[in-house]
Amino acid sequence: MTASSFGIFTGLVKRDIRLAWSQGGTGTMALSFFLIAVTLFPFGVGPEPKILARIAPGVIWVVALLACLISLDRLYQADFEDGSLDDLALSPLGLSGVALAKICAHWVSTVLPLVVASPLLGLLMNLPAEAYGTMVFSLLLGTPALSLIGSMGAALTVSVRRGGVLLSLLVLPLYVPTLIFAVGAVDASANMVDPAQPLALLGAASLLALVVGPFASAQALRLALE
Amino acid sequence: MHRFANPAQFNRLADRILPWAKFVLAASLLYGLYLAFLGSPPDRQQGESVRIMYVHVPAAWMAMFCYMVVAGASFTEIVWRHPLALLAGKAAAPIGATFTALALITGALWGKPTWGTYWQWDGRMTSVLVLFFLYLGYMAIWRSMDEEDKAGRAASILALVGVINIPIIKFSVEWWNTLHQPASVLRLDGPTIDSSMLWPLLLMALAFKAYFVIVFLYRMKLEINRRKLTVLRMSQVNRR
Amino acid sequence: MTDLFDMGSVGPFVWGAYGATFVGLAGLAVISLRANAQAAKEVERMRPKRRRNKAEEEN
Repeated sequence: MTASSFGIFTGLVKRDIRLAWSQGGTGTMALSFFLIAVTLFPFGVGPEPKILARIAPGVIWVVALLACLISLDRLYQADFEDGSLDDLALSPLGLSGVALAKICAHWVSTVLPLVVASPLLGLLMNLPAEAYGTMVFSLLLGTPALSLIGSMGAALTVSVRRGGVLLSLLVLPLYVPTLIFAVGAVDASANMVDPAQPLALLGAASLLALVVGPFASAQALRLALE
Repeated sequence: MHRFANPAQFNRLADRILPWAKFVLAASLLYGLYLAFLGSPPDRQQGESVRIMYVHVPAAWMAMFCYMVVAGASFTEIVWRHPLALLAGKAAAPIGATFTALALITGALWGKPTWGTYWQWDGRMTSVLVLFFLYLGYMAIWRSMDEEDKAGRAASILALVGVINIPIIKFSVEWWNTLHQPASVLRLDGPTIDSSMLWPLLLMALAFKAYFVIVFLYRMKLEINRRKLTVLRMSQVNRR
Repeated sequence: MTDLFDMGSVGPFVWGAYGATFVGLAGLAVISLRANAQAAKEVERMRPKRRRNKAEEEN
């Protein structure tokens, strides 16, 4: 990567983060969704602390996953509609680089706040004290895979009107391994078991998503731009 | 490969294959059903419900096989832009989805008398369920766009991403399953299969393969005809 | 040899599994073949029209 394309990359990341946190951006909405949706679960299953503690890792991870998903459907759409994606495609970054920049921006602006807020939700859900560290770490390690995989779905549905439902249909099955390894790790810690194995698998899932994600996203975007 | 890119040639080839496939289907289905119901003993452990295996296991095999066909067609389409490959994926997907649904349904019907429950979050059944969702996504993206070629290529990208993920999903689900419940249940696959059970299984698998070939070829013809219709309609509109 | 109609309590499940498989596969086959026959007919119907148009143009 030359100096100029690195500049474009960081510029793109900064611009997208700014947009996500400006009025009507996805950042605040995803965070609010995360907080509200998790608090629905005690209403649904009852306030018994033991039950809440048992389901806390799964609930927090599933809702984080959904919050990530609902914030993804317009990842490329605005740039696609106003034509700036055409310009970006011609930049020295290439479409893979553009995709990676937008994924980074999405993760920092939308997913990182969820990670920061997760201990608070752990508190509400009576998460065992031993599991907090693993939960935050698993979110840090695993959510990039969510953004990367989701980016492929967002790129595939970029030209589809109301692509949000379609996006979830495409992406949710691909989220299954990430969810399994992440919740496995948090559950292990909650039960005083060493979570190293599921965490390693989670890291591997993220790495693989990093290899495939930007490339497949670029392919899908190129298709939409044709 | 490009020899078959010509639809007329494809149709000729299909017409040559179809009678054979129909013969194989009829023969293997009849003999397979005979063996499945009359010519094989009830299993020592599973009893009569073992007969469900003779449709369940081949359906599950076909579910996987059809996804491989879809993925292979997608790969061919992406790399060589082969015009028929695009249609092949579209033709194979509904067949695969049907087999996947049948694998799940017959699995549930096997599970009730054997496990005492219709659904068990067994590693295999769960990964078949996820496979079913992958089929749904593939078919949904085909329908989502007006331009067929674009929709097809988007679906191809999804199919290839899916095929990378299938082993990971399978592994993760098995891992998850052993984490949550030690394998106390009777597995769908016995450690050894008696030949009296292997034959009906293989014959039914052959029948399903032949069924796939027949329906796949007809669906390919259907897609080709649809393409022709679009071209014909376009040329009529242009004329007016 | 077993008695087809005496599979005990699992009978309904076995028949249900085979029935579902038959309905699913036969249904898909019928839908596919019918749709193809219809599309083929439509193609045939439009083809002569195009030739006719061509002939008219040439006149």
